[in-house]
Amino acid sequence: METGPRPQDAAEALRASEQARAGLAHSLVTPPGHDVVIGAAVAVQVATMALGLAVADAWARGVLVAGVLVFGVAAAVELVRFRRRNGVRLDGFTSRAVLGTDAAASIAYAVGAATTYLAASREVWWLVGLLALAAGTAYALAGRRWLRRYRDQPAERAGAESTALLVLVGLVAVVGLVLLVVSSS
Amino acid sequence: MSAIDPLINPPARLVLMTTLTAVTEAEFATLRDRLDVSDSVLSKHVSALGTAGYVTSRKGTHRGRRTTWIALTSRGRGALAEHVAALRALIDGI
Repeated sequence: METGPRPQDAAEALRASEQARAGLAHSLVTPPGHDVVIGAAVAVQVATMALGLAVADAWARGVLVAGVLVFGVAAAVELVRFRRRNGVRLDGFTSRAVLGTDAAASIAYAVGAATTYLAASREVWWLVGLLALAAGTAYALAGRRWLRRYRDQPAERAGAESTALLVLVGLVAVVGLVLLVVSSS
Repeated sequence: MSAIDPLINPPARLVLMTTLTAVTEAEFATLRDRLDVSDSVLSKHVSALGTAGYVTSRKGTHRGRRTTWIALTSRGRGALAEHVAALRALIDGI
């Protein structure tokens, strides 16, 4: 007849399982240069978006689209590098640290985009570059902060937002970009 | 009241499933090394848990070689939560 575990065995089993989970979470690291790549990609995207919105020429809209592509390619490359380095896929990292759905990253991006656009609309180009760099730096630091918090609570933070929400946000972004480009041509 | 799940009760399986809660999916060799078990032992546990619908495995690649990626299912997540609750109740003497 099979008997259940003794309380001390149960406690040991739980401790070992939580230790293994914490060990995996703490072993996950970003690939070398990840923060620089993501920060630079966001800076380029913010600066080109500000330029594309502030300058009423077709070439400026082309620059805006190119900026989005630069970020998309950089994000995809970094996610592949993360998976190759760690041997895991982590949707929370994809969503919150790379695509910026973490609150701190979202705020950094929104504030950076708005202030960079204001600078571009006044044609203060040195300030556009400076603010875009600041936005990229803050975005990258928010990603680093998310990873630290993930290590403390891996099970709670491993998941991403729902697929439906991500698809909706993506669709809105693509439709907005298309409308922007079409309206300028 | 939550009950001990005999399928998750072996310590190695509890460790495997708990570890998988930290990621979306993990590559076979990464899990094997983290859990410090042999290929055959991990395969047997994954097979048993997969038959119960607690984990899924799919063929893929990692660093240019073919491998297996393993993930916890929502059913497995629920079963693990119940099992852990039962263990905690046992520890607390309820």
